[in-house]
Amino acid sequence: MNTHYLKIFWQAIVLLAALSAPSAHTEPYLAFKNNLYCSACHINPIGGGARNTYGTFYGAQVLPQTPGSLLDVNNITESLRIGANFRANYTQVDNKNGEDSATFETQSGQLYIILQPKDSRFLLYIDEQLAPGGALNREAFILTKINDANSLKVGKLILPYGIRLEDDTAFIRQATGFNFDNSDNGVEWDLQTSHIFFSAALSNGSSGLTNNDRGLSYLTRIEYLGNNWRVGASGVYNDADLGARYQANIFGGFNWLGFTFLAELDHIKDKSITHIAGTYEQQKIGLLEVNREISKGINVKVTSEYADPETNIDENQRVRHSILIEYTPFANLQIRGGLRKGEDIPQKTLSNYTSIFAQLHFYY
Amino acid sequence: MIKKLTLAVLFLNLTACGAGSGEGLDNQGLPVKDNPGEQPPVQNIDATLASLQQNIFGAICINCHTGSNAPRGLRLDSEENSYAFLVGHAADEVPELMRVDPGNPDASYIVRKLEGAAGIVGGRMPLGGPYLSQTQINSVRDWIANGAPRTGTGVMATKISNLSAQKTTSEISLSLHFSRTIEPDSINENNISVYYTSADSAQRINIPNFGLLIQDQSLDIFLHQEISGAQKFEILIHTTNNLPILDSEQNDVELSQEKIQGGDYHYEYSLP
Repeated sequence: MNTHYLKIFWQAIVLLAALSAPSAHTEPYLAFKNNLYCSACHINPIGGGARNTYGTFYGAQVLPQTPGSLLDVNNITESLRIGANFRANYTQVDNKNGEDSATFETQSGQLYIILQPKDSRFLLYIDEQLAPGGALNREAFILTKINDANSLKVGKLILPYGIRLEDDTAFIRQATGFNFDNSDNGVEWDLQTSHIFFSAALSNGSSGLTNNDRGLSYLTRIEYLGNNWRVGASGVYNDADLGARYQANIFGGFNWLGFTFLAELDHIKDKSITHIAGTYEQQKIGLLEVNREISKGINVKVTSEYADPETNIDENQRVRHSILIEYTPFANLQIRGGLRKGEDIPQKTLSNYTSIFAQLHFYY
Repeated sequence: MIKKLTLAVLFLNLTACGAGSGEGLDNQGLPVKDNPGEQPPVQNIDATLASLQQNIFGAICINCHTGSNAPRGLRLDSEENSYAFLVGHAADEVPELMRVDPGNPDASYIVRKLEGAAGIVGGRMPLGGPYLSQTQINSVRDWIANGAPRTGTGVMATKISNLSAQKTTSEISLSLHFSRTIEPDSINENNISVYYTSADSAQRINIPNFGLLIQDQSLDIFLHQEISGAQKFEILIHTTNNLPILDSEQNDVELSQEKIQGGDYHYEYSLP
């Protein structure tokens, strides 16, 4: 595809998003709410990380109570674009049977660098975590737009699996291992049409490390976008010498009376782990989330999570319930705060807690 | 509309879900092998891999570090795997360090990740919290200080596995945590000298009066007096003309890797 069509394609995407979306943001619920793909706001087709022109526009103009600049200042030159996220937290934990704690911490500081030579269909994408601790590369890949519908990514990737929640501690992201703290080396193909988003990926299956056996990990994800609702499924087969791991999920969401519902159900079977003789470890994990924008710039989110870490064993489930408010008073700045309650079997003292948390989130 | 209502009802059902009772399960959530009908009491953690697996690795870390695509390739889903993937295994985030460096908790990357120490790459563990208590982390430190044995409590000499300083409105306390229980009669105020250095002076000043509390694995030094501007504290433990400090098995406690001149042992603290 020549550059002219490439430009038209991207402009069309931005225009389409702008026309069809009163709001959209880095959070998956906003994509669900507006019946858009994550790529409406993000450079990465599967979402997360650096925002595109519309994502920047939205973050400055639509999301906050008080809009900011109309300019897309993320483009440093014609070929270089940057972005950033910074999250600082305060968390107070009341542990049911253990020690209580209160902590200020930097959750993450991300810098995104996107280099796309002028008139090129190739793009270098780097997602570097600068804080906390030393620098950690989360993603570094080459993105190739094959044509209007198809793209190819090669390098270190956070693979597409289910709903791409920002919260790495969410049970569905924690247990499956597909989160922002866990990328892998491989290749990913994405196909995007007006109603279907399909991804397939081949990777080491070794969590970003050098592959230590001959087996690879095979992943596929499909999402169907309906009218005000969506449904999807993902599957992974990780072929490892120590024992294969199978994962699958279904996910979806819909809008109803101003509420946005998201849900995901995961099943994991790992042949490298046996707790009960004659069986392999199997997990079932679920998430339900409801969002409601109560006024411009203020969103209330309620989440319930469930995890059965071994379905062959009874009475071992854990749950987590959260309620939080996301308030975006100004462009590029969001304040989040809420209450979370984790419940596990009584023996796991650290997992039985009530916590309050507040987060300052800078996005660029 | 009916479908949406059904989903909404399903959501309400899920929010009503509770955690398991844990009946018949151990601290890892696995069936108790000896008495399957009984719910075991929550145990204190001791410095053995079996206990750490039961209370930390297999009970907390396993939420992520399990199976074929465990984060950083670190599997903590069984005692065997925890040992194989931790002890003497280079930390991929900081390859010059080992995840567990037997006998050296301060240089072990797992300790730094659990404490959120400077120099780690990525977030503190467990990722996103709640974090382990210092008591739990000290158990990991003790196990490593004792040589990170595969089974039992190890054969390396008892040593100091953690130093910490705490400042309250009324006093400063300095704490030496030993990797095993120490014999309280083998150490007293005469074995110890405490000094401080202030920010505006390089001179080392002796603190003559302090309290001492020896309990199990801890030796706490309480400085009751007001010490304005103190930044760094030094503790000297003298053994030249005295009997060695002993652990509860009556074995010598190894006080330091490097004995300084005169037979004293030297530890430094900086106030947090």
